[in-house]
Amino acid sequence: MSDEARKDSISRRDFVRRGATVGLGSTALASLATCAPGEAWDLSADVVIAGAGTSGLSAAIEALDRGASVIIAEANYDIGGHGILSGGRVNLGGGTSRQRSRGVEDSADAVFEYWIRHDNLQSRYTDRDLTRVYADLSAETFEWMVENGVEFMDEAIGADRRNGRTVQWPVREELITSYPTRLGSGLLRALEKSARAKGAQILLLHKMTDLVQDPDTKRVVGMVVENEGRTLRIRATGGVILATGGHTSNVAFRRMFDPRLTEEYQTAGEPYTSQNADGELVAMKLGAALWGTASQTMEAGAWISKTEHIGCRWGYSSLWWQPDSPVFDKARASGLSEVDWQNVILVKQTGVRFHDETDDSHAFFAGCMSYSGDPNKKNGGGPIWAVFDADAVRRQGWDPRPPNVDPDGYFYSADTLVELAGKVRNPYQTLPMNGRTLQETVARYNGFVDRGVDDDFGKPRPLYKIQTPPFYAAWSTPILHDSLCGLRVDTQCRVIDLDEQVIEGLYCAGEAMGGFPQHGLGRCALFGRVAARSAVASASRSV
Amino acid sequence: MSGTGGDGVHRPTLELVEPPEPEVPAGTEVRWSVRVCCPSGCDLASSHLTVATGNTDVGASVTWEEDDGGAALARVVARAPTEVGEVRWTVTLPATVAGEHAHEAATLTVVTRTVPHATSLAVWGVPSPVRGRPFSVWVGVKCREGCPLRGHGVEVRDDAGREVGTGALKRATRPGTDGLYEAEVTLAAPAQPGVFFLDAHFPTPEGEVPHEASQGTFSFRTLDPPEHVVRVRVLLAHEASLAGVEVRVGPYEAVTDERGAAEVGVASGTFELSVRRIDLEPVSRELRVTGDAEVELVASPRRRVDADEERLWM
Repeated sequence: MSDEARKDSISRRDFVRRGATVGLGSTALASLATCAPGEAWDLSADVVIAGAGTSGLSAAIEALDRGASVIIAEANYDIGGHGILSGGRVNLGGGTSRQRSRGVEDSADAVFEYWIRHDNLQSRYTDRDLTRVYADLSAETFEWMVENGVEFMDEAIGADRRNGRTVQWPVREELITSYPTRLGSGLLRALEKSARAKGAQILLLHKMTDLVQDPDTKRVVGMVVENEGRTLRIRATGGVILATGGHTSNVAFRRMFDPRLTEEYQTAGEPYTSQNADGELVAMKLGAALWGTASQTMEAGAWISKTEHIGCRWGYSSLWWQPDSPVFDKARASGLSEVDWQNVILVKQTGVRFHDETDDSHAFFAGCMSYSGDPNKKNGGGPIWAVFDADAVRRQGWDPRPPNVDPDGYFYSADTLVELAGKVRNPYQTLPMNGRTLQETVARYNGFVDRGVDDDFGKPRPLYKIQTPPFYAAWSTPILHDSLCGLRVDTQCRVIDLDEQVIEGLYCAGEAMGGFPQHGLGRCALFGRVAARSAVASASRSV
Repeated sequence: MSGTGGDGVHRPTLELVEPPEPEVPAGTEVRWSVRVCCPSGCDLASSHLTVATGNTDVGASVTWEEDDGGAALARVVARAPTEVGEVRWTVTLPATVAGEHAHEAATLTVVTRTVPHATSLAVWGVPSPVRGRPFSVWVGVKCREGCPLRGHGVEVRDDAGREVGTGALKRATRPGTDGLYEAEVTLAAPAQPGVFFLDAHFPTPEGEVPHEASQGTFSFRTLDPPEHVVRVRVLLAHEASLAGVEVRVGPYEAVTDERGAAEVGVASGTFELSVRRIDLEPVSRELRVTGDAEVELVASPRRRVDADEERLWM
């Protein structure tokens, strides 16, 4: 552990010894001291957290362990954020018990060196001060998770052998999606149970809308939340932690980094949870800086993905919505899965091919987002449709009917290609698909199948003609995932403004935080804990 | 404008508030809405509206509703003529008595244009024929308005526009489709090897309702005549059906039976032998064919991975 991290690692015992418990450890329904002129607080806690995902719950437990009282305001109807839908991937190393049991030698220094490599796009742009914090607390955070009830598979995987997955939560009624790869539920539900047992007050359906600053000192002293039409003000004596989960659902926000990311690109995790940049926006109103933005546009990693499930709106990778999900009425369809890209062609909204369908590199995504020919919408590439025929359905073993597909805008069938093109209607379809164009596209492609060579885009040995009715068009527009940049923070997760000054009382962790663009849940939990330590330390100073 | 004449007779107005589509397929239903108002506020809902083309009442269906402002709204559904061209509909509110007041007749002209029915076609079942030999394809045609096209002819033409095959659409639609009529067309494969393109046509048919012609291009590859038989046996390293595995020897194809066996007739040459099914990892190897041959290939289950698993960052 670095000196800085050690210095900040205040234990609950230290806290008590310093006599700092006077103002700590109790939440209150308050007719409390006013802050902004004339306005009373409705609730108060030492640490107030926006977001009950991996970062927020981790921050809550850490703060509670240090004797602080905690309120979490969660916009959703349940906890978990993106993490509860995730594959449960936790990248934490540096010598964890998991690694040791698998015979893996590791150290904090090795973690640090690994995550600052210049020859890898995912580590090239990390903030090395934050990376050092991550390296120093990595092993400790893993053990901390285990202590808080998180179960891991017995594995140490990945090139760095620091990765591993949690075990899916066993209570089916507490899952958001039952598909057996959604292992992040094991982490989130375990953290929730621990946080609640330790006294966290979790306010569901409470959406943070603003921060409250002391008008004189400019310190952040609380937050404003909306709950079913009511506005509540929650005082935070130690600080407010923004753990809101990133920005990729916010079209205006994400387009700051890449103008191509217009509205047709859906986001993984929706419709259960959105990454709306709530934390970033309230902090930026106070002058907060963004950080590590190069990471958001690096052409590596999974900030954008090819659809794994087609014919539904949200076809992200391993997040396969099942009809038993409590939000399936919103997801509407599971999608047609395990696509063999030899069985389909991908066309733009106008019905033209644009790339080798078997590719999933960033060259493919660039093709998807290339100009679609709409002079009124020059940015973004418009919808991408997978077009295939009855033979492909047979080869794939698909059943192209609801709930596998969503005929309300994301899946169509017809007896001819011209008819199919005429049926395609979608909120993001800004130009009609021309039937003649689609017919010509398919005829040309079928010729490539006869010749065994794709003259246009080099698809390796195109195998199957698209010829047998009925024909199908299935939504296959790339989907966004990770927020890889966010608010600038220092090594204590204190939010930094554009003058490079700390915004007192304001902390950030997880996907809303910039500087450490790691996929998965490890960094979220780790920096959530760091933020909580800082906020608790701040609370102890303020009493 | 006064809504009442000096004789105390009210002068109702007809206003087209939801016009019909400017172009409608001949012989199909056309819809529009007319607001019927008496300036003196008389309730004219449920009046008898007539719709005519020329002097002929077309027997339109009229249903009455109230619009947002409380005025009477007549929703009209009429059938368009089967001839193509401009149609002028005359909507007439005859002179009537309503609310103890006499009302003058009122008329409104509604204009639209009828067009032929759009058709579209598909060509499927196109094999890779042996050069110089006959082969068949299927041509399917659909009317967007769902007209029965049974018995109408289809043609296949070469790139010079010469007819090289014809067929007649069958009586029943193709199973699994929503009104696609199909015809089998027999063609002769060119004598030379190569990839060829032909056009299938649905010419404008004779009939009461006008239809547009439609056309679609298809391609095929001619093969050298098979000289040998390659017997391929697919073995699986796991429990699964052996049937339905695609076997390709270059451009020659077959599908395995329930024993995992397939016979492929091939010409002499060196080809890629490959087997493929969605649940199997594709397997291939080079095969030099100089005579009949027997080959065994072992296929394994397709590796199913959590997509996240392949995304081990760093």
